[in-house]
Amino acid sequence: MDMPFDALNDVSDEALLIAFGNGDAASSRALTMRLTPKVLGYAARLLRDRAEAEDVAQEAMLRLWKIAPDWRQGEAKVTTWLYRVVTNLCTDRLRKKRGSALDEIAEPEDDRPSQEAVMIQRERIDALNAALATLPDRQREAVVLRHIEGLGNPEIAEVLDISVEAVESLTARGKRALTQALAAQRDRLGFEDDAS
Amino acid sequence: MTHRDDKMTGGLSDQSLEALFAEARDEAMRPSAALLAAVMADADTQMATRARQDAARREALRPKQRHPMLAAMVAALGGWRAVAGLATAAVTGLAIGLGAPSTVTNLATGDYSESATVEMTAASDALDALVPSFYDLASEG
Repeated sequence: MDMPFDALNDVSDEALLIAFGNGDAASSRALTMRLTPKVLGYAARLLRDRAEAEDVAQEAMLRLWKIAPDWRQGEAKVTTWLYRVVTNLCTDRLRKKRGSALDEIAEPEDDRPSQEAVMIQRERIDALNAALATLPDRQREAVVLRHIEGLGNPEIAEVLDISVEAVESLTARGKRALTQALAAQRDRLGFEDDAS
Repeated sequence: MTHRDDKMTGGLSDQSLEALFAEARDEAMRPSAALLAAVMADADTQMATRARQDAARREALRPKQRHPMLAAMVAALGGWRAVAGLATAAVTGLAIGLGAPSTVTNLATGDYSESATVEMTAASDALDALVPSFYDLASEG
């Protein structure tokens, strides 16, 4: 969807949020285009369900709109606040369907012989997501925030409401578990003959 | 980049894992147009709701509006200050009328004789007796 929101590209998330809180509709459009992809991507990685991730993204953004008039400037980054909301919403949803969720985590299909690079990449990412889903919630959240969303450890600590040391421990353990989980699929994922 | 060492260690190498993370990072999750529209609609709804609440709050803080006809009358008479003056004059007039009609008459006619006072006392009725009479003081100067 093309929208003329580029004019606000240099404006910080916080400034836009405060402007929205003061009744500026254009700010909400810029924030929507800027933040919804992040929120959706993170939710989708935690939930592995696009439809549910969209629900979570919409709910998280709605909470952002609601808090806008009461936003306390300089207290937290808007993205940190959003990641925290998404984490909590996803945790709630995962708890609700816990039990069945573990059974539903399917191994990537074996019989998808495609030489297309894009298919291989898709397969790799699917495998990564499947492996991520096998991690305990906290480890998965920390690994996704650190290595995919690209947050720093102090910000992750704020999102997850834990210490920086705990974040380091979670990401280290998470990565170790991932390498083990993905080891079996190493050949199929093309790492053997990846000559780049 | 080769990952033959992966087999040696039994797990995926850090490099391979990092490559996977990079691919995942590059894979942009594009929100559907419907989701973006829903998020923006929520923002608009929220803004409209807030505007309504603000208006209601301002309305609640504003002094209550009197009956339109009463307000028009007060305005016609020159506002509440003028009405207060009028009310004071009316009450004073009533007190004078009830309290001592004969005293007022005497004062007006300049008849300050004792008999007039006696006559007034004799003619006073029950209602008259209820009102404190300081008009005698007025007549005495």
